Amino acid sequence: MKMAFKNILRNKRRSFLTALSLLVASFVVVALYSYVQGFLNGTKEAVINLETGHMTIARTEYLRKRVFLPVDELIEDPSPIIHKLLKFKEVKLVTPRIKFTALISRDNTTKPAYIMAIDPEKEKSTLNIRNRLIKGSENLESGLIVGKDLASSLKINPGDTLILLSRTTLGGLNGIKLPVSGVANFGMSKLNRNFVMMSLKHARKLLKTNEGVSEILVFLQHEKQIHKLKTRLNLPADLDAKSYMELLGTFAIYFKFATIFYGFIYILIIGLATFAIINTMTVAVFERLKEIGTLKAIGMTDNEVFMLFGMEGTMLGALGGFFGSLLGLIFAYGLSIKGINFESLLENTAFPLPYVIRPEVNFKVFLFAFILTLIISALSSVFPALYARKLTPQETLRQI
Amino acid sequence: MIKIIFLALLIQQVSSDFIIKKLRENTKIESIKFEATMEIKKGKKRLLKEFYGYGKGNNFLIVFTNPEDRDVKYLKLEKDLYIYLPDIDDVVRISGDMLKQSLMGSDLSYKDLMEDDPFSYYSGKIISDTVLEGHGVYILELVDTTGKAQYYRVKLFVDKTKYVPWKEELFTKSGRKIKEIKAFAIARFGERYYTTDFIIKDLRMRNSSTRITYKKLEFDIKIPESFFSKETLYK
Repeated sequence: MKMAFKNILRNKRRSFLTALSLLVASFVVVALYSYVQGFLNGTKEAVINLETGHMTIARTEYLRKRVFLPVDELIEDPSPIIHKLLKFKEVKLVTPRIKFTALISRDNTTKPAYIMAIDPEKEKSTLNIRNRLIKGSENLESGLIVGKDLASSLKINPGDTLILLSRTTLGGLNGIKLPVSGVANFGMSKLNRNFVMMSLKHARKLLKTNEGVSEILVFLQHEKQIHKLKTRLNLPADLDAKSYMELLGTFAIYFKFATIFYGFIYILIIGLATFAIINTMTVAVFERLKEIGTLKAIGMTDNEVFMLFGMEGTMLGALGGFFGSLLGLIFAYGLSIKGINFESLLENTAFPLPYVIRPEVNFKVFLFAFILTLIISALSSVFPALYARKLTPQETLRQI
Repeated sequence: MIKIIFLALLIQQVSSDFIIKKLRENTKIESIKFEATMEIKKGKKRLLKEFYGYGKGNNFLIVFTNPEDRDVKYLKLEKDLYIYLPDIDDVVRISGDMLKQSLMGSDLSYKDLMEDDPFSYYSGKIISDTVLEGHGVYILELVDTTGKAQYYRVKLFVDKTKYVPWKEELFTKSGRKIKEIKAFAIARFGERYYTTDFIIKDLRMRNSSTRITYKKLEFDIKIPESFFSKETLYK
């Protein structure tokens, strides 16, 4: 081991280049994993927080027609269901929402809008409105929060008054006049283009309902508890509960496809990294045939030669793997602070993809990449080391 | 063979242009006063709306009287539509793409309401004639030649004597049938025939239909110009 270590230090440039290629491979493994997981988890988190919770409870008819956001399929008295849900230890938060479409008008301009009415107090942790604000305040008790692209197309600023026009729960037509409290970047083009947030109080006045809500969103301690909780809910006959994946429709297929696709890319990258490590280690042995011949000529046994080369490979693997994985982790952490902003690419997409992707910083991936590089470099040293072991001094010197 | 020749001769007696001209004469209105109901059915749900209104030239005013929409008013001024909302005592202007939105959740779009002379956009041919639920009709297939029509292709089942369609099928350019209108009653008003009871189905919506029944209709009466101004809405 001492000799292997000395050998590494003796030819610094060769050792450095070998370790560098191992470093790059392990860096790519960590950085790519962090990015992919960041993308998938970020998308999932945005959908859960903004759209569905881990689970949505609504009238069966509402869920069937959810794409049209019907206002005549509300849960008229949500309180007993909310109280019942809060008794489950798996449940972290239960929050009611009303979602509907409306026409939003200012002066002579009218646009269609997707309205989400919320309980501002309860939704502080889910919607994180304060951090999404560009202008104005997060005060929903007195006004509206409007998506930035919609605000721009209506040329509105905080303080301006808007008219919302919608069908009521009774099938009539009604309007409400409210000031704009704030303009927000909801981090998704779909929402920024037509999204308006208001309080349940104002929505109920517009829709002419006392306590009605269209959805009760359930946020759990852990995603894995969805199925277990669903079976224990025992909801009234006209209500149903759907997990976020069940509600995503086409996007769920995309999400599953993206998971498989990125998984495949990831395996491919690990394969390439493995190939690079094997290649580097093999070249390192063949470069040193003269040295092997000399070592054998001065009396080193076959096993000692095998051990020496195996040890050298493993040490270089440990060195490159450790620093590469560490750099990957630091790189992911650095990018996760502000995130990678894809707004200019995604601003015209209809899919609910978040603009900002924050790579996931995961220590387990660091360990995985380090151990992977170590094992692969150790294994890939075996074959050249076995080759070196078989060589006689005469053969090695003839090959130079 | 003789029957086919006889039928062909009969069809050729009136041209499609003549039928379109007669259709336009029946639908072109100098002034109108009406009272009507609109029954919207969505699956098992049913909404009944009542309204009255006035029309003059290309403008009209509709005032809803059913309890859910009492005093909601629609005012069409040329290409713009204004909606008055009594709860906030204010007006919203609907124009451009917004006119494609559904009128109060019905199978009609605002744009359906806005067409001044819809048959002027089309030219076409008589495909055949037949009997539709006891009414002798010409089957006309019209295609938009101006690029301005809301529906690219229209198939009409026009009454042979009254020149009012008993049935309309409305298609997109890709050939998809998106709406169907069926008349239940046609009445005579002087020289004019007019549909007084009809149902419209937007085939893009499942189990949805809207039936409009006129309870009172008066044509060519004197209506003050002041009825058709934004100021009237606030009264």
